[in-house]
Order: sequence, then C-alpha cells, then structure tokens
Amino acid sequence: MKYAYYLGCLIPARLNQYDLSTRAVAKKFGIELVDLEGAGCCGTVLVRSVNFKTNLAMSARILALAKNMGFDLLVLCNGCYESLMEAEDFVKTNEDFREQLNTILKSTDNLVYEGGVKVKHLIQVLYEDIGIERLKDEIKKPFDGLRVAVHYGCHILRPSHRMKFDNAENPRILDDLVEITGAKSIYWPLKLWCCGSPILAIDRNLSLSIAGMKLKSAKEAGADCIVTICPACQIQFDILQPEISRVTGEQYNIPVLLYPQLLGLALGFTPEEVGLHLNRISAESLLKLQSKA
Amino acid sequence: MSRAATSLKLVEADTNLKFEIAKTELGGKAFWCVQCGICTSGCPVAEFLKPHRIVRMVVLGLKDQLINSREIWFCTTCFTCSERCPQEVDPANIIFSLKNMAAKQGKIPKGLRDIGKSLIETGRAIKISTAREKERMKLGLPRIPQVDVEKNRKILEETNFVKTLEEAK
Repeated sequence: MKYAYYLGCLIPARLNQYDLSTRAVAKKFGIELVDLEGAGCCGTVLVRSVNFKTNLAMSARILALAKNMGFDLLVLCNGCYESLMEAEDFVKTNEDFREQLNTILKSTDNLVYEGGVKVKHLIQVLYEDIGIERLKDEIKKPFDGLRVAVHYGCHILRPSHRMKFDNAENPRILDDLVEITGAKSIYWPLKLWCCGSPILAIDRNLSLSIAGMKLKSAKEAGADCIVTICPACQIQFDILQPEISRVTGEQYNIPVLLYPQLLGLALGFTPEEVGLHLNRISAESLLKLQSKA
Repeated sequence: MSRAATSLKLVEADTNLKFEIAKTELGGKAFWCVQCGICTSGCPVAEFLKPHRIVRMVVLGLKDQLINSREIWFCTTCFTCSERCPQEVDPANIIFSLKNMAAKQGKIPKGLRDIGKSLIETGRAIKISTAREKERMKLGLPRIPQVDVEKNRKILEETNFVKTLEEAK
C-alpha cells in the first residue's frame, strides 16, 4: 500500500507530532508514505475567500503532481482534503472549468490534469484499507473507559456531495476508530460545530470565543479529552487553549489529541514516539487510564 | 455591526447580482431561497452574520452594501448552511462569491493579506520556522519536501491573485 504523502502547510509549521504519530502508525500497518516533492500550499479556503480560481488551480497542481508520481494522495489536513476534493470534483464535472485550469497548469508548470487521483484522509485509509478488525487486533494498551469528545472538523464532512466522506449530520467513522482503542465516544451538543479557525486571521476574539464554546460543551459533557483529525482544529483547541481562557474567562484544562496519537498509544507506542510531549495541554493524566499490556 | 438592510435604497440595486453569482463556477441560487432560516439557525456566527439575510440582500441586488459589509468576512466557511438548505441555495458559496467581488475591489482583511503575502513569497500559507525544522531533525523526521516557489507564484500570477493582493488596502 503506497501513497503520495502530502502534509500541507500547517502541520510542518506547527504540529510535527501529527506527522510523527502518522508515520509510526502507517509503518506498523505497512502503509508506505512517499513525500510529494515540489508541492506548495493546497490553496486553502482562506485563499478561496480572495479568489476561488487560485484555490482550485493550486489544488489541481497538487493532484497533477500526484498523478505523475502514480500514487493516490494521503492527506492529514481537513483543509487540504476539502480543497483537493473540490478541485477533483470540478475537474470531473465541469468541462469548461477543467480546460481553464489546464490552461493555467500548462502555462505555469507544463502539467495536465484530467482527474483520477483518489484523495484520502489518513482516517479513511485506516478505516477502509486497514479496517476496524485488523486495527483492533493490534491494540495492546487500551484506554478503558476514557471519555472522548470526538471532533471531525468541518472540511472533511461538508459539503457532503463533494467531500463524499460520511453522513455529514451523523458521522461514525472517527467515532468507531476512537472506540477500538477502548475509549468511549460521548455525546456532546456542539460536536459538529466549527472550531472557529478559518476566521482566526480576521477576528481573533470571535474565532477564539467559538472555540471556547466548543471546549465548554465538551467539558460539560464530561469529556476527558478531545480527539481531532484536523491541524487547524488541533491548534485552536490545544495550542490556543490558554488564549481562549483569557478571552472567555473560563478554565478548561482539557487535553486534545490527534487521532494517530491516541491510536499509537493504544497500539503500544510510547508517548515520545507519538510526540505527546509536543502537545501544549498535558495529556499525562490520560496515560494512567491505560491498562497494562 | 452596520445594519445595512434597515435603510434600503432599491433605486441603487443591481438586480443582475443573483444571476451574476449563479453563473460563476461556485454557483449558488439565491433566487430559490424561501427564507426558511435553516441556514441561520445552524450558523456558528449567526449573531454577526445571518446567511438568510445575505441571500435576501443578493436577491434584492444590494451589491455595494454587501461588498462593503464586514459581515461577509465573518463566515467560518463551515458549509453547515449549504449542507442543510432544503432549496439548494448554497449560501456558503454565495458568500465566497461576494468576498471574491470585494477582494477584486481591493477590500481584503489584513489577516488574509498577510497569508497571501506568505503564499507569494514562500509557496506556503504559513512559513516554517527553523526551530520547527530543528525539531523535526530531533524527532528523526525526514526533511520537509521543498516547495517549488517559482511555479507556485506563476499560478498566483496567472489567476490574478498577485495583482488583487497588490491593489488591496
């Protein structure tokens, strides 16, 4: 199983632990990750706000690079997933626009893209290619009774007709993946809400107060931690949690783990091997819940 | 927050706006809206931005008021409105179109201009610090693949992103 591995911008800029824990888990299950050379930003929804053609052309370029490598794309970022899936959908369904994009790609990089690269988020690869049963068999140190507030993040779910990921109003993929580690995915009212990240650069206080409402919702529902799969959401909830407290005046002290960190620990990797020490809010308390191998 | 709709000046309305938006690749059918409000009821920033109101203003053709409003930039792009709209109006993409129109007139919030600058200079939305690269080495992670900055910039030029950003205030 070989994938073109595309990290995007946020992960190498802020969350090396996402890369580290993903590589650890991928190696364990024989998923080979080949770095995508020469790729820049996916175009991101932030660029889309300024010029949607720029957004989609940048994503089409990345799809074309992966096509030339001959592999499907594995991404870790919901933002990248969204942009790439949108680009793929436009290329496939809108002939005029496909020509426009190809004119741009041809003149700038001598590339052609007619569609056909599969874009997969890490958790789709785990869920579909490896499968729940095989993952379950490898669990060595389960988190018995850990109460997890599962957070999908918007751009992997919506708009569902283009993201083709899971039921947008009642997704299960990440919940099921969390529960194989022995943890329990709890009900929390604001589960499917946005984390506020995309407007961080526009109105920081508003963005952080949205994240604060989510943290409060998770805490009131009795969550021991939040589990995310998007670097933007992870940065909001973990790295910016102290700043959120300053904005809202509330203390949360809720650890936030990236999914491959949770899975990695349950598979028996050490906290260092999944980069737990790089998370801002200490997750030490969760390790005590793990049963011994 | 300015309450643009309290003083309607329909003589200045651009009645073509709804068609102009529907014709773009992003689409969005403002004229299908029945003002049910499902979009706004699920919006995480509904206190500041009401998608059903934006859509109604598009139908009325209040282009200048929309493009000069701060509201459109509060959209978190979560797509909940578009996901739930029973009329397939696609408010989120209508708001994207309005932001694109505002940007063309040089109106881009400073935070987004900064991200755009980083994109032009480095090919990445956010620069990767040397401290982070050292951290990678310490963790035993391979080097970050190099970005082809020139080829990225060409796309930014070819799609007029660079020009839009240079003219933005």
